[in-house]
Amino acid sequence: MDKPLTRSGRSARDAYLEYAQMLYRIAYTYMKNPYDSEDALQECFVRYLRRGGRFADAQHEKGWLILTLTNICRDQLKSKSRRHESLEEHTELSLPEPETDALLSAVFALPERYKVPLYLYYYEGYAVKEIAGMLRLPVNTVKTRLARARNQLKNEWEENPNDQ
Amino acid sequence: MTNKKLMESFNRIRLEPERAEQIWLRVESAYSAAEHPTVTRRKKLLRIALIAALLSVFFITTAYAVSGIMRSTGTYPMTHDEEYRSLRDLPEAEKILGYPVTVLESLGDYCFLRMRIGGEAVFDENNAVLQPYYGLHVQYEAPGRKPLFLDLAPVLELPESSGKPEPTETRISDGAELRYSRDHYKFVPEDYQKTAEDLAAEAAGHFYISFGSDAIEECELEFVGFVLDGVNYVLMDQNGDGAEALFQMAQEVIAARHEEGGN
Repeated sequence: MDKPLTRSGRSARDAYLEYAQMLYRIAYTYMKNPYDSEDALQECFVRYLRRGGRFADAQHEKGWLILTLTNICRDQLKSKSRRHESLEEHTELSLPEPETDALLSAVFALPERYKVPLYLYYYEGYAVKEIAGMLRLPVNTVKTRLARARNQLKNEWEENPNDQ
Repeated sequence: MTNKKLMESFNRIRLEPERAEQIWLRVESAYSAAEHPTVTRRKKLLRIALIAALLSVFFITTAYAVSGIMRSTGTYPMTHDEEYRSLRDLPEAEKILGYPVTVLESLGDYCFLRMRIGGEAVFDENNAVLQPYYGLHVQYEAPGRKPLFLDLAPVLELPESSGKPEPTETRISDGAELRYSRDHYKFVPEDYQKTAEDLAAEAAGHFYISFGSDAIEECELEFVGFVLDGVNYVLMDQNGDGAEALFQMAQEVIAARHEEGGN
């Protein structure tokens, strides 16, 4: 039989308050606009509620949220590409967009599989082993993705010195 | 490129608190809208789960009381919570359950309708989990009659119990002991307070109260329980079919199990 999951004592809203900012930033690196990033975050927590808060521990919960969010982002990007949707369609609401610099643009341009490890390592401060656990990846795979992301960002950085 | 620069770049992406609050409201709204159509079905499943929990208490041979300490069983969140509409899915169900089961297309006049796998557990008096397991709940139907349920759960490796309620009648069939009971059940809301009549009826026996329903509902239920290859089988009838009808159905399951090569 599978390992049973512990009963979560906290509410879904507590989890939302704790992880919304992190998940929004991750979603933004995929979707590159606030509208789709908000939609992805919303869908992620709707799925979280449907799941009923059943997680073995905090790391399991966080990893599940990140993987679910990135899957939603990928699906939305595919769907968006099929619909040829553009930002101009979001005329009913104007959301502030962050001022992007060369580095952030370079992060947006990274392959999807590099973005989350990079963000978790450099911004959230997680160790490689923790990231591997959350993303259900081998430690060496996380190390490789981080190294490649760094190299790609470094190249981009050196090619655009005026933006520094 | 420095780590600090990368931090600064990521900091540019920010979800403002008021936007976060609006998204949460949308989450709640979307979740409620998605769940609403299934409320009725969920209530039905809850009712089945309540009955299943009762069955576990009174028929799982080691899960009632030890040295005067009360135990209880109930639903428990586990990885799988599946519903199947065909017995062709039984092999898949068995993989999740982790134990072999025999489920027939028909029992007496009843035909298979659906089956559901859900996590359950035995809890101690402090509501701590003693042992989680998967239960299988099978529903049969017959025209103009209330559903018949067959509930299966593993025989649990817990210390031997005492104080288990006595069945109304027992019978031996192909080496299996069939335990028949006819009991009165009262389903009540969580905040229900037992009355003096309730307490007296409980003391007299064959009267049970189950908390967790939406409204008070009472019914007579008949059960036959037996153990096959380390699995508890409990048949539950709500139509007053009587002991003989339930014994006959139990014997059909036992015969089929033996034909499948079980002990």
